[in-house]
Amino acid sequence: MGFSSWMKQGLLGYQPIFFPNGLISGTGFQFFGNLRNMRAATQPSGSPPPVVDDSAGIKENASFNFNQGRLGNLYIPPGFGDRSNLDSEFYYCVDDADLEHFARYNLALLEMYEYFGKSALVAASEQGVSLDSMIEIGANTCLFPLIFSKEGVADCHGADIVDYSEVVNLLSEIQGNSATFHHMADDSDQTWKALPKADLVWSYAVLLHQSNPLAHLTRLASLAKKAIFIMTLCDPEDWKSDQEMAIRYLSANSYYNADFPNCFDVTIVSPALIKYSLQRLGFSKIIEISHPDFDLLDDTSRADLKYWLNKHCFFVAFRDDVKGDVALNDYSVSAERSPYRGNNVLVHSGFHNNVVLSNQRYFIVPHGAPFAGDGTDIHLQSFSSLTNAMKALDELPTEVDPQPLLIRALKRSNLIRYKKRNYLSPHGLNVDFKDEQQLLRLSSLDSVEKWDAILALMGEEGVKKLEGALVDFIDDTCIVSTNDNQYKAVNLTKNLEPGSKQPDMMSSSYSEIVRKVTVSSMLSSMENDCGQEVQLYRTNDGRQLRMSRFGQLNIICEGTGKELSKHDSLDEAWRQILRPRSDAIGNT
Amino acid sequence: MDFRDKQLDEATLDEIRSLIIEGLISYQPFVFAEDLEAGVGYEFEEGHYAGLVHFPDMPDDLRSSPGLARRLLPAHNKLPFRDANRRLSAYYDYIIDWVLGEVGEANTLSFLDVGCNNGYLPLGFLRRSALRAAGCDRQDFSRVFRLLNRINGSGAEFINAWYEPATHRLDGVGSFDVVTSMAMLCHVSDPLHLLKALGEISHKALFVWTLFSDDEGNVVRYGDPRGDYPGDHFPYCFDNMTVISVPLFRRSAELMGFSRVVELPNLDEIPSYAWKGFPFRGFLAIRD
Repeated sequence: MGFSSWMKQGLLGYQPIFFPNGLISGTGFQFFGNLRNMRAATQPSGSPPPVVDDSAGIKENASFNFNQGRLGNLYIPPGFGDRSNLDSEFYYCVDDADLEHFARYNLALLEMYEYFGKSALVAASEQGVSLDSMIEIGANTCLFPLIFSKEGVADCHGADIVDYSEVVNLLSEIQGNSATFHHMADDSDQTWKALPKADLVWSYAVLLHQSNPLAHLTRLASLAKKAIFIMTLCDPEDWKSDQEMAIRYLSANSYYNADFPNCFDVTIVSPALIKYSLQRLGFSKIIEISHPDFDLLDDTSRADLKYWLNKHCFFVAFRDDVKGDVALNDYSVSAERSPYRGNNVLVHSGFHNNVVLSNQRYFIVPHGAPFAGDGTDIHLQSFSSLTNAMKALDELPTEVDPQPLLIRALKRSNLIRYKKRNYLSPHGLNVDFKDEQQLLRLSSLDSVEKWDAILALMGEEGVKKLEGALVDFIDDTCIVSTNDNQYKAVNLTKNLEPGSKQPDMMSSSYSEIVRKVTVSSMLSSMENDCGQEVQLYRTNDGRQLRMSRFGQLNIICEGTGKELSKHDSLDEAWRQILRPRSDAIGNT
Repeated sequence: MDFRDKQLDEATLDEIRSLIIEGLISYQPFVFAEDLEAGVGYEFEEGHYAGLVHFPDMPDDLRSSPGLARRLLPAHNKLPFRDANRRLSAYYDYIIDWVLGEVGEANTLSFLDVGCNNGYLPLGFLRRSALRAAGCDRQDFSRVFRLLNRINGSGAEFINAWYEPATHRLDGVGSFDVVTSMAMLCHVSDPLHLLKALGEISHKALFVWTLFSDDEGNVVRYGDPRGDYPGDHFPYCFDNMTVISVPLFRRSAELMGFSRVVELPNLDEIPSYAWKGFPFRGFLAIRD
């Protein structure tokens, strides 16, 4: 434990921190130095003035000359022993000669952090949004959460892929502010879901290191109850118009190592695409925070900073309505191309709820509840994907533990819906609906409409007289489960006709008896359609294809009325018709 | 592809008409009879929705269907429609011949067209003696493949499989020597992941024909989503006018291990296509 240990772990050096023992760490020196070089390289007309030493060695321009080799990110005060062994891949120690400039540029950086934190709070206040919690993703040593804590935000969090918790704990103690650090072991959905949701989500210079920035934005939004802050490289001057939605990939594997296409680690998202994304993610009000200015800096450094600020966006965006955990969990970076189209489509029927697709959202609609389907059903849970809707449905207490529901009280029984079936439960019978054996003994159908139809035909008494439990009703035919594990089909209409008792169909299989009933019903329907002799076709050579009754066909000579041939199937009859007449006659 | 020389019987033409009514034949340029053609060529050249099928005998009661109305060609545009689709057909054939010229003998190679629609490319490769040619698509075009195989006397395979953004994978197709993808990348939100999925199943070469921007850097541009896929939500909502830059395609091919990239040449006698100001260009990434 100690600074040496932290330094070996690379925990210091990026955010500007002034420790009470005189140690200063921060990238301010490098930040402004790189800016100076970039501006000189890319903007000849705006290049900084040359710095010329006079004979006394005093710089004519007050701005610091960064062209001195390595720019440090760590100042080790006297008394720390040999500091040379601290120089490493991560750290360059600053000489005493550069200390003032090092401190100045890191203070400027710190003031910039404070400026953006405070500005976001002002913007929220102006919008009437109270921010009681915040989380920064890619928080490093949590300077922003600590700033928000100092400004009175009660619950401040930071998360990062490197474990900065020890540093954050120390800084919280030193400053008397409070930030809770969360180590993100990976970028998985599970890790993101484990992070706390907060009123404000903060993203500072992180989006530009994402290969998939839109997916990253989605994940940020999934944590933001009220507001989100995005600072990233967006290069507004670099796009052909301010309407362009685009991503520019600058470098691959310069910071991290990953396979294509996750290798791009400096990425520019155009301002229009960021705004569009924020709006799609539910942030309707987007405010651009104005650029800061600092007295600490000389004119050249101010111009350097302005150059940098102009290449970045600083958006704080607000939702119209506060989103709770359930709504936030609905954000997903997984894609779903739904098989369903249309509006107000019943997609799934659960035990006590339906899932309805309406206006590209999946609503959970309790049975019996009104559903307008015109965008006014905001009181109902809705989800952007069917997957999420089904997950939420399956977790509803009423779906996990469905209860019997009285549908209708009849004279001798109650019609009770349980799960997806409607049971006829005789009065006085105390049914335990959790007991499957008891349920098997009750007559039940899969729809109330079927009960209406059957009760109209035979009444409650008729159902009671069936030799078993009614399990289905198809085209006036009752399917009954008998005590000997057989299924019997009884056609009510035909049996009600005098003298037309039909033999009951039997099967040991429910699907088989259903097949038999439906086929029989179809055949019966087709027969009914063929009640009288009809001419189906007439040939040019004087023949007629006629059907005397269902399945009985003949071909007759139109002139004589003589039957030329008889057929049991339509295709056979047509083959005969399609032959030349001489053949046809010859074959009869 | 012109099937008029096959003198299709009425039953076959009825089958085709039925497939057109179902929306399964419309996009790729096929001529079935004097008054039965399909193809997007006319819309490509006009730059807007102008008609995908010439089907003057379409039953009147079906014409008012929004889906059919969108596809039906107004009868007075028959001649420009026909000419434009002849040019598109010639363009497809040019691509097939050019790819074969770059990758080697067709009879030793297998081909897969991803987002194959009716299978013009697989049929074209088989007509040029490909060892094997298949197509895969999100929509089930298997009946069209069976029909066209019957007409063509060929054995193009259809696989009902697609690129899935949720997993960034194109499962269920296996791998092929040469993989082609035409006008597909412009309809996805994650074009780089799609490229990777295509690259993973390409043994020898990957041909991508899509909208390209003239950006010098590695750029992806997005158009406003049309909402073609109702279930899509942000960030997978971009279904229209996704455009990438040429350097980004080249860089992607390099990062996927392809040795070189060759561009489909523009020839004076071959048409070129564009949509909303962005040209369609074709690039073949080859593993040497």
